[in-house]
Amino acid sequence: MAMERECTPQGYLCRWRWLAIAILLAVGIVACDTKDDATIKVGILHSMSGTMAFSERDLVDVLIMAIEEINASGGVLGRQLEPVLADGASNWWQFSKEAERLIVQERVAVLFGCWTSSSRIAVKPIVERYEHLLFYPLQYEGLEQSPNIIYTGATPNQQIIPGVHWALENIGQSVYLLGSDYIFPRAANMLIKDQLKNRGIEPLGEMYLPLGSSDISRAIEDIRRLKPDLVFNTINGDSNIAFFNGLSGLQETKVVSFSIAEPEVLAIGIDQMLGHYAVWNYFQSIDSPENRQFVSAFKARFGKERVVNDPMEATYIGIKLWVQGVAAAGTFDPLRVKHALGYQSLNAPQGIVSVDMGSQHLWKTVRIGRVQSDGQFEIVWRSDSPIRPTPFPKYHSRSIWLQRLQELKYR
Amino acid sequence: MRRYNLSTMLFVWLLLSVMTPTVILSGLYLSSFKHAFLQQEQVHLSQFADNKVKQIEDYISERISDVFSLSQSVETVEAFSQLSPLYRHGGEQAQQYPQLLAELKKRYQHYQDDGYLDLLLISASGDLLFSLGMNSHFPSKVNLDPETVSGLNFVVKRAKYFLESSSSSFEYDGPSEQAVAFIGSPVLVQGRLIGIVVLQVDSQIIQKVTLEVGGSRSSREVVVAARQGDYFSYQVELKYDADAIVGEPQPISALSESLSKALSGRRHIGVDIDYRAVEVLAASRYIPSVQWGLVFKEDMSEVVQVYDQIFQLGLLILFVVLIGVLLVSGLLGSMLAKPFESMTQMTRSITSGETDARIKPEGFRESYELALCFNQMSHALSLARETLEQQVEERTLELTNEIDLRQNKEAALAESYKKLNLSMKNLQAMQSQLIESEKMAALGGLVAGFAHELNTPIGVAITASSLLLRELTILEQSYSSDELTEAVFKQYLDDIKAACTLLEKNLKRSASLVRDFKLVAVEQTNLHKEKFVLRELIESLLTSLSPETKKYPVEISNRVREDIVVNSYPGDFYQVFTNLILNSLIHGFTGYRDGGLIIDASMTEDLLTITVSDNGKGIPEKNCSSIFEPFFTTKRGNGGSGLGLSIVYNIVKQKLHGDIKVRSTLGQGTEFIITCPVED
Repeated sequence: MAMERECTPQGYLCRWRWLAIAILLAVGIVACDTKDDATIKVGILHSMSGTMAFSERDLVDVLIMAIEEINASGGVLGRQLEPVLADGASNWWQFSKEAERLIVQERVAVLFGCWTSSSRIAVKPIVERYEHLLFYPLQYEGLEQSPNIIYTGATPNQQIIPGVHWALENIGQSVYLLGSDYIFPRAANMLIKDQLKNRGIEPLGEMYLPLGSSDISRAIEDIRRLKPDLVFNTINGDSNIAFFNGLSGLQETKVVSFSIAEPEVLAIGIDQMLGHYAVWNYFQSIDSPENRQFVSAFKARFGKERVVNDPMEATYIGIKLWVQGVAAAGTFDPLRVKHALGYQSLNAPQGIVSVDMGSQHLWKTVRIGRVQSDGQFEIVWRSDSPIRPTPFPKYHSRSIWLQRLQELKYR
Repeated sequence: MRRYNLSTMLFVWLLLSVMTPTVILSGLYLSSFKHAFLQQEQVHLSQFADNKVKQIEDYISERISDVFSLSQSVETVEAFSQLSPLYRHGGEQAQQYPQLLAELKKRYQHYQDDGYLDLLLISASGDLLFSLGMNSHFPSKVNLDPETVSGLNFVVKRAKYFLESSSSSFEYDGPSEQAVAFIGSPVLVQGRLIGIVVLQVDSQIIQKVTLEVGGSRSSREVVVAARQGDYFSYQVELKYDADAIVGEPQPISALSESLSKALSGRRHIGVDIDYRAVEVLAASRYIPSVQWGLVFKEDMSEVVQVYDQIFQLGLLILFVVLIGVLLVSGLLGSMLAKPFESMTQMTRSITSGETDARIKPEGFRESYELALCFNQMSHALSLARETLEQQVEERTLELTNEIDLRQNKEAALAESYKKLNLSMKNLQAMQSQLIESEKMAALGGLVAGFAHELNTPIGVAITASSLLLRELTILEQSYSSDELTEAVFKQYLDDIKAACTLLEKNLKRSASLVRDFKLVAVEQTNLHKEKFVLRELIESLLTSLSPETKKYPVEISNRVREDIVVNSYPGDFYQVFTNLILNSLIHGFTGYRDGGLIIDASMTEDLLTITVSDNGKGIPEKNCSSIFEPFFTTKRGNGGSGLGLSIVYNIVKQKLHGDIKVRSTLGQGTEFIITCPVED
């Protein structure tokens, strides 16, 4: 009798005992869940207002989309990413302030940002001081290397120099140099002139437009007069509209632009741009599965009428590489991530890109595109393989380069 | 329900309580270990792969540095400035040309010693001015046609047009039967290209990279491949496929998963399928400077082997522990169960009769105490048993005597029974006799009473007739003596009428008495059944009994209705009523000055109810049940035989098939109720 009814006198206690065990187990399991739920802040430093907002907005959108993609597939190291936007307001002073704020107050793990070289140059000392990490997606003049910046855009030897070579081989030998008056066009033209000199070519003319000015009449006059086969165009901004309008009708002259991509084609007008060229690593019209997926994802997210250009793709590459770096480093610490980025490679929409740790730039493929009637570029040439980045062309020592840069009076 | 022995129970419980959590925990630990182990392996593999990439990249960078420094050196510039004019003016025909070449060869010989296959000096227009291996097979003019894709072509073009130092990818060189690559750098003087300097390297670096696999994993392999349009080719021999030729183009479709990832720039570490279609842990890497895909892999089976070994060890341990548990539970079980066994045995022997079984007290405390107590119990049991047996014997003896006694008594009883039976028969005979005597006596009394009664009217009748005779005589005398007057004649007529009336009345009375008596006395012996009016019967009975009844101061009333007709034995009814009435008069009214007796009856379809009730002194309750018993009387010695009511009882019960009851209240009266069925 006593055996059968053992539990009943303490029947009350019996039940509670099991409950206690269950609670303890549950607590234990929960405690064992060591997953950290805090999000990681990702700093986005672009102009959301001002003259550059039109272009930089695209880059912000790409970053947002990429972050969503990454979060949807589980985040990075099991943690979700949280974008923190900072407005540089097209003003390099604002950029440096915001960079500092993002690093010090928001404590972001990484920065994606800048478009103009002046903004980048303003942010460079900030990231170097705080030993942080910035991904810069624009093609630029090179001649720079920072241990805290990963440059995902093209160096001159990955854009300008092969582009010039191809143009000289395929279009003509007489050249006119035209650009906006700031560091990139001046440095670019410096390198182009080196290249021309070696082929024994002297540019027919070289002109710089003050930024923001649309008084292109002098240049148009010049070009009409000189009738060069080629114009190497490094004008940035609205002035392009006036320029191409002014050129209309001039069949013999082909313009090879280094700062015009798909959005600018739409802004300037497809008719005006038809048949002219641009040199990039990436065009929206690249026919590869990776690119098709990238473009359709972007259009699906932001609208079918939007177009994708090289800086946007470079931005996308940047954040994807960062994710790989974090995964390899096992931490979000910027310096460790940067070290883990060495020898990383990625099958980007443009093809394979690899990180060159020595220069902190990427191996990128060069493409030359010709404007078609649908506003997209037909790719007329591409390099066989990705080109090694040399921000400082080897035919001068670095000190000589820096000296030459000084002479351009923009440092 | 099957009962399991202690060892089994112990085994099961130990198994459950010890083994189950152990197994679960071990399982969890092992799986997490497996996971961590795999992670670790992946990290190792990843690091190795990264190292390989670094090795190659560094190698190429170093080569580029070498060629760059070469291009910067004053001697090189000098060499070009000497060579170019010579070449232009006659080339090999020029006299100083061979001498210059020999000089240059001596100067640059150390490059070959350092491992370079060749050193080339190429003019800005693409002419091959100098080569270390002068008897080499290079064309005298480098083909700068953009369509031509060759390593040398590539680096020369880069140097010439892009002013860049570059490296080419490795290509198979037939004559030297190995893969070779070129590193080139432009030679610039004041920004103008004067020539290109090229170094040729062999593929030893590949060997170096692929051979170092480190560690103890024998299945490790480094696979290197390069893409060529729609084809790819292995840059090293495959460990597991001796037929694969280095440099031979293979279709893209033959690419293994891991290698395909490597070649398309996807950096990957994880489980993949290799070119043998075997599961491997592979790290895929892309090497940009030579556009190679590199896969550093090891067989999953080997990786898992370590884990498997641990797992097997774990299983072995588990098995050993299981055996241990089995043994321990077996031993423990048998040790613990031993006292139970001996006890069981002892109990059995006790059951089978052995009276003084004992267990040896031993073992642990509980079993020791149990054994002691058991022995006590056993002893007590055996004592009790002895006592019991004794008692049983005694009892049996007693019982046997008892039985004898009983048997004797039974015999005696049987005798008595027989005697009783006899007596009973005698008694019954006597009873019948007595009843007959009583009947006779009653009848006698009845006759006596009747005679007494009859005497009166007959006497009166005699008197009347005498008177009549006298009167007539007188009359006759008167007539004869003519003294008869009318008035005297009328007087004599009146007197004679009176006397005749009296005579008639009394004779009628006598006749009625005789008739009544006949009815009662004769009918008493009448055994026939006939229909009669009850009231009339009772009336005639009352009449015949009147000599007796008038002795008592009791008024008898016959209230029976005239329409009650009974079909039964009138004689019996007479007897019954006679006895009841007489009984009542005799016993009920002693000392009373007056009283009443009522005879009533009612009849339903099947039941006749007769009541004889008086208001006499009643019958005490204790006698009520005894009054119908034969020989019961309260007047013994006073002439009561005690048979009257028993006769009534017998007649009612047996002859009339009815029932008789008595209701009496002391001081108030008695009522006899007779019920009998009506027959038709």
